[in-house]
Amino acid sequence: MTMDVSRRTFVKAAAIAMATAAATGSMAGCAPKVNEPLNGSATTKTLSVCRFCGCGCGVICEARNGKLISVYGDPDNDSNRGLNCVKGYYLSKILYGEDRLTTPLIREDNSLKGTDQGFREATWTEALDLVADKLRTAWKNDKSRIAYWGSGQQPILEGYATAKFWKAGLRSNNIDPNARLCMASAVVGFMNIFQTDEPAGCYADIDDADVIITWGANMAEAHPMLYSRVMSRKISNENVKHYDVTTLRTRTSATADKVMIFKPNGDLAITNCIARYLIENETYDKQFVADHLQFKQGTEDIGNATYDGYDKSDIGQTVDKVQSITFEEYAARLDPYTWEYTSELSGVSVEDLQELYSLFANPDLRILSFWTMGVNQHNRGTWVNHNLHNIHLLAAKYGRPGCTAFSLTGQPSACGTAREVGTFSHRLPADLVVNNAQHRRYTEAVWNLPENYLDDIATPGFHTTKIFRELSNGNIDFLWSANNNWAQSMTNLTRFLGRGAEDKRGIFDAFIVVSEVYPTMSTKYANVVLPSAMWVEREGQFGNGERRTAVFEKAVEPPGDARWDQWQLMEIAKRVLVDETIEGEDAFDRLFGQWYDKDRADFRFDTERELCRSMWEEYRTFSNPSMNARAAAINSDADGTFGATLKMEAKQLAPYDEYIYNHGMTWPVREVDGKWLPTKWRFTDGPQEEGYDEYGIAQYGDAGLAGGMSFYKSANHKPSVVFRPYEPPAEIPDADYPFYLCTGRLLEHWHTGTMTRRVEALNNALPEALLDMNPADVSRLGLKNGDRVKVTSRFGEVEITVSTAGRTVPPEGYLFAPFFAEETLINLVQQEAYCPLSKEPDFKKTCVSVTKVEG
Amino acid sequence: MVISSLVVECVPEKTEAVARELPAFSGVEVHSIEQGYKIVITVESETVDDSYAETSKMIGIDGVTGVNLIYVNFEDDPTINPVGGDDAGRA
Repeated sequence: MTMDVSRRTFVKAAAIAMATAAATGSMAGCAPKVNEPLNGSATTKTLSVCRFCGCGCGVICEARNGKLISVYGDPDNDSNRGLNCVKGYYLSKILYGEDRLTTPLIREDNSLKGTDQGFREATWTEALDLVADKLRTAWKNDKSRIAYWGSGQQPILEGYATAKFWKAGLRSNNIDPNARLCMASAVVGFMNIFQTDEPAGCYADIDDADVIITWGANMAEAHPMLYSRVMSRKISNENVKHYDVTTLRTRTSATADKVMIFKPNGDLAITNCIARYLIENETYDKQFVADHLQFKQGTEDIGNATYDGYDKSDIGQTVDKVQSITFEEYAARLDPYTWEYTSELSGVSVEDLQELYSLFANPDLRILSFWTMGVNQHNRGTWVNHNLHNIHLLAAKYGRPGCTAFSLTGQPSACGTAREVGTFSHRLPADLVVNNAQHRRYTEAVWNLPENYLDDIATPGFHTTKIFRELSNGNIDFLWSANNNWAQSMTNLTRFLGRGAEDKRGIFDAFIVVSEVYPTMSTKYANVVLPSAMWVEREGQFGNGERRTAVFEKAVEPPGDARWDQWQLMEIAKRVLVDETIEGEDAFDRLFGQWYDKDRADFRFDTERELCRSMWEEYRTFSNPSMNARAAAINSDADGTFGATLKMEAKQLAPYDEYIYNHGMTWPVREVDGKWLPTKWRFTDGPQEEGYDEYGIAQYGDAGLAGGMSFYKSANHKPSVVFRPYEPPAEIPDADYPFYLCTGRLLEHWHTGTMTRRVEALNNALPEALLDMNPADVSRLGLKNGDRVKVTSRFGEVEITVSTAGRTVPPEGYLFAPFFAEETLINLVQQEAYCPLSKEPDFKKTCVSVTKVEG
Repeated sequence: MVISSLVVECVPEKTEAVARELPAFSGVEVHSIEQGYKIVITVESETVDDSYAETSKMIGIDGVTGVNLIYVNFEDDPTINPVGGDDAGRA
């Protein structure tokens, strides 16, 4: 139906009014709290969250006749305040690609694995029976040979139920998310330093910062809405400066006031250099240091995690070890990082290093550091995270609005699901870990399990790289993945896709299940493809980079026979757990029976809202111990068994409907006089109503300390400044492989492009993955713009087109290629090396050669 | 007709010049300048793809620092909602 004139006039007027209100900041509060039609009773309006990057922008969806008809920025979501980036145009369109998966597929011809061929359509019953039979058989045979690979795109409650099934149902820790590829180094940094995950600050820090530093982060393309906020801050105050500290020029560099290009791993030296001179010149904050910090050093000679046996090697088992040192000993460790030595290591001039230092040395400046994959995907990713926090802590650039050290996330629920639910091989919900008895007891209490039931999972399982190494080695019989595309995003695809010279049959012999919405590289390797509901085709929840939990409501039905992942999980779990019991009770019913009626093959609730509300009540018990007497006693260590309290309220979550009513809230959320209030600045004292951590500090912290802060979750209430030295990359360019290759994301295509490449305009805007090269290198190799070249590493080779006019401008000796293009499959050359502490791979510095393809 | 509205953010001293340049884009109307550096525009085009194609070029205008989408109505986009059937656009 085409809009008539009055409808068109109305829609346009509404569009103008919303944009004007967003521009003037007068829109907040005008969004409806209930579903109301914009025009015409057939139109529904639902609350949602963008499903692309980690910004977590709120949007409102309008639907009519079962299809979305409009999307607009949610003015009442405090993360984006009504703004979206231009990817918002495609939030709707990604639902309607022509090749949506709508029927379960079963592979009949295993010889065609690796292609789209060899499948037949199947009923759900057939597919579920087959999947469950394979999983149960593999599990009963040897549970170390099963694995689940999840995602930072998995909604919170889907991740929660999956983790509960895997950890309590199967009692396996072989579950890990793709967030291991992007966030793990930040996580280990936060846990080592603060003993609690996720940033203390929030996006609103941008609005008060005097200096914004991007470290290894192309915010302009990867986090456009936040970068827009950075630009607005600069425009509102001409004294605000943006420094881009990076290994190559990007769109973010283009608008920075100062760009500092450093040599790979120079970040380790630069941060230590700043710390060195803060101490030597006594420009650090003495009171902040005295009140808040403790100092440590760790194991340093840890080599590189380039081989399968690394984790269990002698050095691999020492990587987490630290010892306390004095402040003076810490200062002595920094001594080598003089201006000159640091300049030599990093390639940054002494003058620029001094300028960067002078910012931190100025007590009046409010400094906000943002970082992403350049820091996290690093063979010493955890160490760089340490060092960035170190300089912010020494200079007391923490806690005041505008002052914080903030690791951005790349996916919409990397924080909410992967990190907060704990879908990692070593974690349990809410910062709990499997190898801590008190944490297991607490989890058993919330999950109504017998004491010691989870001792079977006291040892962490396979992290992501380990899962795919063991798959290729033939040691995984069953793999299930959802909300990701491992066959394109993993490292060393030459090995992991079984294309190497050595026998790597594992991927062909294992039974692989992929829950998906479109055909991808990963579905080519599937034995069963389960068609899933996408984005607002079901209700879900995301947790974004600033600790904001937000709900997206169901707006439309999934197409064809596509089904909600949560239903898929229940149907598989009930089959796999058949005849299993916990204390004599049916195991499935003990874990999921309150939500799912296995005999009716349906949830026990009339609406997804009611189901989510019920599941949320269990999930939020992890951060509200008072909701469960057994958990409360463990939290407070009532009988003295553990000698420590857990302080689970530090991540307190509100009742489910509060997140809908408030359009998302940042945890910890506190109940004050019957009203639930978010916390924007963790560990900073002040009125809760204004977003400070008043109730957290009152319960567990100390008042009256430097900066009005109290790090009450940290051991002895003191974050750890750990000395972490410079270390070169895992591979160094040589005569055979003279270039570093960095891979990453560009604006138009999100991750592996499974959604955005189905949109014609996005594909037209960026149709091909190009190899960005420095013009001097192109000239030296006798190449020209547009030439096809072969990029070869120690791991594999790909063909790609050279560009000197691409989106990035690398320095000489450095290359950039995006990873969105399946036909290029740049990760065929990608090294496997990962940070030994976080197990996050280094996607930024594989050494390669470049040769022209003749003909 | 797909109707969308955006806020184009600019370097303040170049805002007026950008506002003069924007109507040259297909389907674009400039409605107001807010706070000296934010230009409120609407875009009318046949499809979401066309709208994206126009607006994604705006970041390349000298003086533009950000292009924020506020609202998009695509009920008439024939590639999403084909005339003649609510589900015809689906696989």
